[in-house]
Amino acid sequence: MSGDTPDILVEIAAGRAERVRRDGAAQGLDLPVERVAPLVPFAVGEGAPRPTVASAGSGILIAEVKRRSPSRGDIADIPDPATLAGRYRKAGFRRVSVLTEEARFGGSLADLIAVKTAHPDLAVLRKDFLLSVEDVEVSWRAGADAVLLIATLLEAELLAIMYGRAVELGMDCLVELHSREDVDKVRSLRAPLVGINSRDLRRFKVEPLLPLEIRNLIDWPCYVIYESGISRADDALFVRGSGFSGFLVGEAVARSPELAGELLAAWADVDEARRRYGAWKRLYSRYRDGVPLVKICGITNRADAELAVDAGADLIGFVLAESPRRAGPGIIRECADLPVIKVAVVVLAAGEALPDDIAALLEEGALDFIQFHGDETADTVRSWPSYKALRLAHREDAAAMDETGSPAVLVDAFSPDAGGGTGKRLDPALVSAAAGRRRLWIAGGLNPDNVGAIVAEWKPGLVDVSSGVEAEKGLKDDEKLRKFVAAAKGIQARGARGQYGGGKVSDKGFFGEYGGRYVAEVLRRPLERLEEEFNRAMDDPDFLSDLAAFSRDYIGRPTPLLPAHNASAAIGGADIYVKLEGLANTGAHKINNAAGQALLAKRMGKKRIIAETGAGQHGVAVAAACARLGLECVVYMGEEDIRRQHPNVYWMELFDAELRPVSSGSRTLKDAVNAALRDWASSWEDTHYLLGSALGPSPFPDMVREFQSVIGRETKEQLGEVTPDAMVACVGGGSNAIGFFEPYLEDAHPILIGAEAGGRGPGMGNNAARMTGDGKVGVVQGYKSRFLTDPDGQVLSTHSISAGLDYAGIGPQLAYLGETGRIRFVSVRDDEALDALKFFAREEGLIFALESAHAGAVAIVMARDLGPGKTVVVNMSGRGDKDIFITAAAMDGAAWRTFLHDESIREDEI
Amino acid sequence: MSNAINPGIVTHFIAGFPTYEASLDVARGLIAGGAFALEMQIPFSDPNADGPVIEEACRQALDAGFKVADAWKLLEAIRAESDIPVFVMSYASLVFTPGVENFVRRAKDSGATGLIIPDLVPGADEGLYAAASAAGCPAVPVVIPWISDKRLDEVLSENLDWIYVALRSGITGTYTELGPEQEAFLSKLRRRGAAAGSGLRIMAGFGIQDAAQVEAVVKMADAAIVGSALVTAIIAAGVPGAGDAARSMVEMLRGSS
Repeated sequence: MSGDTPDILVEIAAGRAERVRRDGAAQGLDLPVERVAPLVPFAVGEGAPRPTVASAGSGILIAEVKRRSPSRGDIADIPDPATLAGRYRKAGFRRVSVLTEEARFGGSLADLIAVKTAHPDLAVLRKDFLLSVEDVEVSWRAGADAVLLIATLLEAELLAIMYGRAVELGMDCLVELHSREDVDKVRSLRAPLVGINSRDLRRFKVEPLLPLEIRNLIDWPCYVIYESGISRADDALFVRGSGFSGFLVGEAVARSPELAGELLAAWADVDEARRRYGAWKRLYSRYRDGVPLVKICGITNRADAELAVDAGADLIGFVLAESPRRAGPGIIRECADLPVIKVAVVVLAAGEALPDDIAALLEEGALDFIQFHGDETADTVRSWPSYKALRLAHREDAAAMDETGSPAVLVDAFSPDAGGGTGKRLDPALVSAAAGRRRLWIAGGLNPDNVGAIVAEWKPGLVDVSSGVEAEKGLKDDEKLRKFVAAAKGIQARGARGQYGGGKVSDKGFFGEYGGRYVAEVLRRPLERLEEEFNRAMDDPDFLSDLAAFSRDYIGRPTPLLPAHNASAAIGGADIYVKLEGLANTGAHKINNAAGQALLAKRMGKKRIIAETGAGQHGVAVAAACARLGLECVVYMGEEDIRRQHPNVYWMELFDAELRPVSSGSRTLKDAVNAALRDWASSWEDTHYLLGSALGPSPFPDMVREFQSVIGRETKEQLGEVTPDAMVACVGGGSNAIGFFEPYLEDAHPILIGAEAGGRGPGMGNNAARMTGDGKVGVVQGYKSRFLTDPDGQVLSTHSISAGLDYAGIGPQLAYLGETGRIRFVSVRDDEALDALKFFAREEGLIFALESAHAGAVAIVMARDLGPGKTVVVNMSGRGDKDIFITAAAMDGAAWRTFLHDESIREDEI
Repeated sequence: MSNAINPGIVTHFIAGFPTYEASLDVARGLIAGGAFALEMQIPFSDPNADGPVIEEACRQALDAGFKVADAWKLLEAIRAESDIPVFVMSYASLVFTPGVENFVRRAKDSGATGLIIPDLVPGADEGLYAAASAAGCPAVPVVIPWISDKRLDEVLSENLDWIYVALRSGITGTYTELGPEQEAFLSKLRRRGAAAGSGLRIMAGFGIQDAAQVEAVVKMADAAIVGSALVTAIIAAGVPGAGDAARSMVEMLRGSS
């Protein structure tokens, strides 16, 4: 158990451990060795109904049999738990949780047995403070169909063993998370069903925003259940609207079983849920752990709104009340397209209705939230996408925060003679009273100079500033505003638009701390010359026109953008578009870079090209470009890769390239890079090293991105009026991803997602998850980035079913953008990539390369999560013909081996 | 070995190759054979400034489970027996990962004389030069004869005891003859060192295989570096003969056998 484990949990678990020592794990019951009750699929196991966001009414909804709790004392007198479960069932619940902890919750395994015996067709979750594999086995024997595993209580290794045992027995696990540490602990399990408890265990109070914050840290595909804090139908709407896959409700339904039906009815009303609470999902998709959201209030003109967005603000506020900063519907509509959450500050009397013109702004999407700043009732607050702002004069006033009807409360400094924000300093006594009640959202008296200290001291969830960043009343000051956002978020201030800061191009070879040119002195001059020549070429219309002609005539650009209607329909989610980059000549995006650099080499007067290759796709592209341009070509390829990717060896030789096997090191891609670097160190005067990905020493990351950005530019143009909500690409070194994302890097939207190789799963050597797994900052092969290395710094071997993602490093720009949060990374396992490959083949007649299928897998999940009306664009960076020896063996091994065998005999006979 | 610094041979060997014990025997053999200094390479998984012979030897050491901590143990063992200068050679990843200052402190505490990290060069060194100089275990930059004057100024502005000249463009392990270009560069470097009055000393190498080359180099530099040729001899000798092979190789290179 970690030192931070809340005392109450430790206490309960310790009490339970003591009882297990005394009575055994079965609570003194005589359980059968094999369970008697039928195993009913709970949520994600085989045979379980798959809930989707798109299909209204579904969801993983769990009602609990709960007698009492440490925070609330006795909840309900439950003479017969089976009767209560029967009422849940009658209301429509198919999943029931039974709390079996004895001392603090008054439950028992006998309750669970009674429920399961009376209702064998219900899926039953055992909720307890389970501590051992034996606990899991006992749960199964008693008839549980799923168990709750509390990550906070369990060491990672034990958690993994208990999880594995439960799955082996056919049970689902609801893995409960409370913190970032828990998310890190569970990541390697990639648990498909997780619960986030809204009860803050340190204070034992419900914090409605906690599940939204923690959910945003989860970077693997899973269903997320909202636990605790559901006491009325509005809460179910909030949970649904804010994007959860279901809820677990205990106390409220145990007390008032008639509420069960109301909760289910509210859950089914997806339109109302999205109308009232959809904005919370949008807002919290911007949340990063420990970093407050920043709201710039008092916006009166478009230029200030753009400035706020550019500086990195999360929300902008318009005051629709009497104020020197009063704004009107006109300016709000003018700012409607900006990628930021938009809030109107409204002051109403108790019982007064929201004016129609403001409601219309919400309806048309020009506003996300109303900030109610007057005497509005909780009912008014609940009926709109909104939160409440409160002025505090005394500590006692903080009690009102619990009764506002709003998940969050913005606490403002008190001033008796002004509506809205006041610009006075907050009193620490008031702040501490407010922080004791709720996640602190604060306003009043903040400025660029004090916000850093306030954030450090109080760790607010949101900071709101208006006059503190003004040049004069109603007009924002560029420098103050940028400084405020940077200080609040603890980041370096972003420069003005177009300068470095958006992460679009490097700053002297660096992207934040990543990148650089860590090479021996001997390679310094060749790299300097390459950088100069590259910059000159990109300003030379002749060079650009040669490249455009090569792209059109040989590569076949533009490659198509396919609207994948069938796939969207099959998922029942967002519209999916597939950029068919695999239709580029030679079968993948690699040719874009090969052509660009080969033309550059020719321009520099080089006679000879060297290249490394892993799977062989880059090698084939380089060999083809050299064949067309009359350049001598040498390709280094690891012996292990030659064995795995033999067909590409023939193509390279057919293009008259010389293939040099590399027998050193692990005999794979990284060793081929080493071999090429060695060659170049002594040959650079007449030779260009044509590096294949957006990594290595500067200027390669900038150069490769520029040559690959044609993918993103074309996609943007082909989308036309369609605004993408999410874009997905696979990431090995990352050249297709950075090229695909390039036009969007400086914007806040769309969501950009990089899919890296999860391989066989977690564990050293099983994957190539640099961003989502065990990668750490290192300096390898001439650049600083995130690498999979051992504690000494030795580069580890990696695994992926796709050779193109099988590399221990990642391009420095992607590492940087991952750190800033602009690009999210997820890892996709071998089997998930194969499933996506089959899905797109079946639905759309496409054969994704195994690399690109990793992106395909994420696109499927995103389409489902975003839901209809949204757009997901995925880059099929390569086509899968090359993978036939791997995919055929994985899908129908016996028949394929027979074919290969027969074929080899036939060849012998010729 | 007295503590007066005499012209001679900087002998390279790989910590943990062919085995930990045998690499200690190699160090003893090099010292017994009359080496002026040792260059101890800590094996790295991706040594791309080295040739295939050294790379393969490093791989074998790592496959056998060699850790950086073993290199420090080895250095301490050598230091317990001799006060010969020992330059520690490795790559950026092994220096950066534990933290540059930690690496430098560990090297110094174990008895290193200087640090040769070819992919951390002045200006892109993650603080290596400052930390190493402060610890009294200065970094040794690797330069090439055709380095620009401007860049050479940058390199020489660091606080240095030694500078390492790679006489041949490229990687370790191919035969070098001293041509006019190399000789001119070495003369220039000596003049620069003398002019600065800094006592800058020069080691030069890459591709030295016999006594004639050593003789040619030490006329122009303070020491000649022998690397791949020694590793090749040790491979040929195998574990039991590694120490003796090292010793007789140094004797041969000194022209004394």
